[in-house]
Amino acid sequence: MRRVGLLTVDRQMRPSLQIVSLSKRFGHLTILRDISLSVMPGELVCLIGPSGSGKSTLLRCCNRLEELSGGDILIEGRNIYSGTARDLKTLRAHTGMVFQSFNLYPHLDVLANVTLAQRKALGRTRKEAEAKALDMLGLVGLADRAKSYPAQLSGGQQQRVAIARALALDPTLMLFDEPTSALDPETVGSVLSVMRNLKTRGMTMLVVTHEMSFAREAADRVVFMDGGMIVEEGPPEAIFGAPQMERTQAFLSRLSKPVG
Amino acid sequence: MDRFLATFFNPITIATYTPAVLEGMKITIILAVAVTLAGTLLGLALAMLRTFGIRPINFFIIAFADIGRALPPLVIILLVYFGLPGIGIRLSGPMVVFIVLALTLAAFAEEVFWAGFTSVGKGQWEAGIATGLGFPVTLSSIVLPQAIRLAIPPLMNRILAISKMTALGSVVGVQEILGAASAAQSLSGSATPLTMAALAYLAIFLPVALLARLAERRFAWKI
Ligand SMILES: Nc1ncnc2c1ncn2[C@@H]1O[C@H](COP(=O)(O)OP(=O)(O)O)[C@@H](O)[C@H]1O
Ligand SMILES: [Mg+2]
Repeated sequence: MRRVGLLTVDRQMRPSLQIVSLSKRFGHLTILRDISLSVMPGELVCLIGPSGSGKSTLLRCCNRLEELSGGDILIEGRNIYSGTARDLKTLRAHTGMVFQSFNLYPHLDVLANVTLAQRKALGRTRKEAEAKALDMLGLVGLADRAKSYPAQLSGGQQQRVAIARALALDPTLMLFDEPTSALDPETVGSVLSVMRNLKTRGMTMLVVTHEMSFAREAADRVVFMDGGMIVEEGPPEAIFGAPQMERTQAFLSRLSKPVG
Repeated sequence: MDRFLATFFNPITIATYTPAVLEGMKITIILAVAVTLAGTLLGLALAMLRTFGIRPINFFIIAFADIGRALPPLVIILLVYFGLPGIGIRLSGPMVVFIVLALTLAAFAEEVFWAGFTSVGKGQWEAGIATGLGFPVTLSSIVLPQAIRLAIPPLMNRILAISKMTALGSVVGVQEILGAASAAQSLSGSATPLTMAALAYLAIFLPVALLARLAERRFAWKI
């Protein structure tokens, strides 16, 4: 099978994503303060923390769905605020974003969902875009659903199409915002296994998740956020095995308590 | 029974005035189609413009939509037709009807399309923007097709309601169906031409009503 250009990571040791002293305010409210975080090429970083701690906002700042209030973000060494409007579009195309709610286009079939931005943002021909789309759909295990509409797919399938849509744009970095939180339990596994597969292929990923077992086993690094700040970060064994900060301990022990 | 038939279905009157009513149908159809096209396109353009969120522009769009929906078209038709010549602007009857009804439809269509735009979720915009599509492409390729789909059933009903108001042309001398029929009625002293008018309206607008019903089923939206 052909895997044109996908996941051929250049292994120079410049961070794929570098967030420097980022702050973000909504009106008077400071949502993120002094966040610094780097993600190296091929690294999978999981972002965990209570709801409302600013994880989504941080992710959305990385492709400028939100504007920063202070600090800098560099992707592949380029400040995302430095370029022209055209550079911003290219940057966004090459920064894959996967949403909790999939956000597939309901009026288009799966193939058209995956080819639209390839053609209109990257200027590929229909033929190129369709070949690439079928490749990526194959990668997420849905090559046979190219002609289906989103409403005909399960949640897990829709999310995998959304992943294929992002991958088809040859991203240097993938951002996932709780990709499995809206899924039925029985389809969560299929999405997580696609993400593990991407990791083995060298994709750089920043993943907001509540799937602690996934973070523990798949992440290279885990970052715990609370109240708009990074409280603690480290390898999963350290964060889950021996968290240093009280707030991390409290968060993790709340999670591990049996529900009900 | 004979009297009933003689009043409403007099065969001689029917034969005499059929050509005039047919001619009226032609004018009604032309006016209705022109009003529908112009009103729908203008309404869509205004709703699209409104998505850009430019405050002063939106203020005017909203004012236009609200005033256009509040005013009875007949009042404006009379005002324009009999008023404007006073300041030296003379428009033909059909032109006045066309302009007033097209603007009225545009006001309603703008609101219908806008409702369509606002019910397309924020996530659709974000997915487009996040994949490197700019605002205009996201609008035209992602949001617009969904908004139009949502808008079609209510829009069809509006088109039906406003395009049959071409009958108002009869008060400013437009020889559309009703104009032709009431002229015939005063000449013949028979109600039969009015029956013919009613049938002529049915022939034109009943299919539109059926089409609207079909559209409602066809576009019942599943997300
Ligand atoms: N557009 C917005 N305007 C105002 N406040 C917002 C906006 N988006 C998010 N917030 C606030 O920012 C905080 C962090 O939100 P979010 O980043 O979604 O947290 P998380 O993803 O960790 O649950 C929340 O308190 C939320 O209410
Ligand atoms: Mg969130």
